[in-house]
Amino acid sequence: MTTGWAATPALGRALVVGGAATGSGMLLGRPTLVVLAAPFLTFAALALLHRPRLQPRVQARLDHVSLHEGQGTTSRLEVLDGDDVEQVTRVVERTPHVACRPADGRTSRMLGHEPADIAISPRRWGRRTVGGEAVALTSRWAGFRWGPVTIPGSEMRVLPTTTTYAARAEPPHPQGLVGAHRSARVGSGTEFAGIRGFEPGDRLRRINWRVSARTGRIHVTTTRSEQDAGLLLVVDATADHGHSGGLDGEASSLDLTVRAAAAVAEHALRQGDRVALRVVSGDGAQVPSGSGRLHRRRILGSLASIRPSELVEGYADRLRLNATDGTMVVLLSPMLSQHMGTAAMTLVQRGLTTLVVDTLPPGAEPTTPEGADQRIASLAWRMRKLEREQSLAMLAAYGCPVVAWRGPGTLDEVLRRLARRAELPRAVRR
Amino acid sequence: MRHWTAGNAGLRLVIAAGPPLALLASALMDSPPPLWMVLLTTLCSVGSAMWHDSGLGTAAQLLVVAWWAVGPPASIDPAVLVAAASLVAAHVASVLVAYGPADLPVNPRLLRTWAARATATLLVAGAAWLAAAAVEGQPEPAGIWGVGMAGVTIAAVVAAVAVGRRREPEVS
Repeated sequence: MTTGWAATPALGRALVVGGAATGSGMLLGRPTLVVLAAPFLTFAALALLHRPRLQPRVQARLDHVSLHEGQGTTSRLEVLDGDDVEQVTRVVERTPHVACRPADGRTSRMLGHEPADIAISPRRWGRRTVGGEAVALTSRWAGFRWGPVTIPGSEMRVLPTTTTYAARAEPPHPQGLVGAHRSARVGSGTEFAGIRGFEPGDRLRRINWRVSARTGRIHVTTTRSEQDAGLLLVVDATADHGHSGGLDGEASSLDLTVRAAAAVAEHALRQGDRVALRVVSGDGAQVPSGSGRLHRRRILGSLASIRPSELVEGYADRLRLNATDGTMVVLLSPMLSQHMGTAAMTLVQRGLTTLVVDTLPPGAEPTTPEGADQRIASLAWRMRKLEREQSLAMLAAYGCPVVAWRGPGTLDEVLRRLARRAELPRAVRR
Repeated sequence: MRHWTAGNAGLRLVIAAGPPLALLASALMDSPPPLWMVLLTTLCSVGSAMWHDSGLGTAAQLLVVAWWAVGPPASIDPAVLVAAASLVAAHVASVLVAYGPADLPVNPRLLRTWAARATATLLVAGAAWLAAAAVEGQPEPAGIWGVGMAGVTIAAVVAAVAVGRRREPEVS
């Protein structure tokens, strides 16, 4: 697209009215018309005197390219070769779940006197196109206009917000190599486990001299080893129920799912645990187990890239979560899909510690397809919810706790119970 | 209309009211305009307020010029300054509205700048009025109107060449 400076309608009006009034005044001998023409001739003369000579260039850049939902950044406009420019207008594209300031992304500024910046804040996780806008420049005395030209936006992955999550509950099966959790195994940790008789290989500094002197035999103090835990997050992204109002409004089921998964992953990774992610959807992503800051960004990035899609026909029956023994599985889902219920039951029967986080928003209503009978859709929804209640009750009966996500602290009590239960002997079906 | 900001709506009110007020200013000289002219001018100016980049604003102002050419007496009267001020207000309001879409808030600094410019151009009109009042009734020098027409014609040709559009490749 080519553009350049073009005369404004205002300049045309000033020339036409001023010229017509002056010509008529002289033809008819009426000085009053010259008085009417004088201001317009002044406008036109000054606009023409300040006719732009240079062709400007505009560039827009964002201060930040990666944001969490709710965070903000600034879009700054740079005008090159803009000596002839007096005023700049920026109109940012309206994008769902992206808030702008000032005035919904519209700004008019005098160049050189005030910055033409626009603050942008994505209000919901996911892939957002941010920064697309139209820019127009006006010369002095509004004689000439350049543009408007369109500057395309850039796609940004908005990471889900990670609220502070301070669970003190221990995970049920710390089994990794080294970490922050008290393990059931005896090792070289700091927490007291017991006192036993000396065996070859024990370290001399572990000798408990008091007990040894009292019993007459050498005894050593044993401690529990500190190990990390393995966590598998299974995120149900087959559908999105309810309405999403972004961070400032109500949350849909996928909002709750993604934010809960981000919070749990953040908490586990801060403790040094290993976290894996499995997204159940038509194009499901998978993040293998890992830990550390980079792994955290990888998990949050995968969560931010989620787009709801149904499972491919036939694939649902072969759903494999690849959960290894000793891993704790947290399954985040609104539990409206039969496949997720089946997957949870399979994990429980394998003997894996499984926790279901229910992310169906209270009061969620289904989207009725166009032309469908609202009463039938409503009845079908009620029936589906009844089936869901039965499914959840069956999971609970098999020992799989189901807890509705209500923010940080939701999982504390459940994790404590699971940790206590993990220490008890248990029969499993192989 | 429901997307107009408050400032934008105010400016459009000025665009709509300016030309009719300029027309009615001749009533101060006991020479009110005919009703049909008032209605036609109002129609054009209201249309210009709705579609400010159309030619309706120019049409409304030309109607005012046409009336002042044939209607009121040729004598110099302060009423013509009222008409000039009304036309300038409508023109400047149209300039401010044209800076962006209807839901763009009016920038206060731009508003002050253009208010100052409008005042300056009205001072030019006032100076022209004083000059016209000073020479009113005196015999005209020979050929003065011919020289004036020639000057206006040359200025119009220069202006037409100057506003010719140039196209350059867009770089962004």
